[in-house]
Amino acid sequence: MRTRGWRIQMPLRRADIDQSLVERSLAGDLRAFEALVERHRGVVYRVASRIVGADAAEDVSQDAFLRAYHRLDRFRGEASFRTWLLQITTNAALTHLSRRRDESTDDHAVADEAVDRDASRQPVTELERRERQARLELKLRGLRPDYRSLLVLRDLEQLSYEEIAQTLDMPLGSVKGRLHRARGELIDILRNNTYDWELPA
Amino acid sequence: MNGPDPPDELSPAERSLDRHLELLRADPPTPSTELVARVIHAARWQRALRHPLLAVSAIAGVIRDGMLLLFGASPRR
Repeated sequence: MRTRGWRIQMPLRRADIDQSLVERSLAGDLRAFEALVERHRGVVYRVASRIVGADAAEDVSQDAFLRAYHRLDRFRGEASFRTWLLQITTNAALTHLSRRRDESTDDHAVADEAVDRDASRQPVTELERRERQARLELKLRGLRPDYRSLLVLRDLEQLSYEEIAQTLDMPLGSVKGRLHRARGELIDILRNNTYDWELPA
Repeated sequence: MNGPDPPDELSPAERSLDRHLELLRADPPTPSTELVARVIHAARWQRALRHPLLAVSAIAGVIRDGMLLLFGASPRR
């Protein structure tokens, strides 16, 4: 019984805290908004980083939080604050991508930099892991932006289908089908290179 | 690929993909310590500017309406 109660109460408490902080922010309490940013900065940054890349993730995260700040009065509590914030974050990230022209060039540079950084001081296995990680991030960014967002939200952030439907503003029934296609596309991209597709022993 | 929903039914290729993605899940990117301060700093000055800008915008609207009234022009369709 205690376990059941715990599972049911935890999300409610989190939502209640967010709701209270939103109300205080709307009343002009900037410290309450700061607490909201503190609570959600991790997930916002992760999603932004996976969609636009590490080089622009901080700017996109800041943009998302400021957009949220100016639209707090539109938060109705129909979805969780996190879902609402991730919707804003995803939109900010997609807007950023649509403005960026030379994305592929930048991404290659960033991936190379990630692998080269402090290379001489790392063991071989760690180097290989970092290289695989950088290459995988690069391949992920090779996906079209809407597929990339889906994959990030489901397979990396592990959101529920309902949360994804709310975040990306798409019918719940479309999420699974599109996710299947997104995974298929990433598999095809990885299979183009044996090194990328083979799993390390 | 487990969210709050039941686990997805995955093909063998999707299971392999999931093992690849574990590499990214295991090492998530983290924001700099300055992110919160940057957001709050920007929110503070934007909030300070918001009311004056809204007031200027309202005054400009009144002036435009007055001009239209004085010179008898009708608003553009």
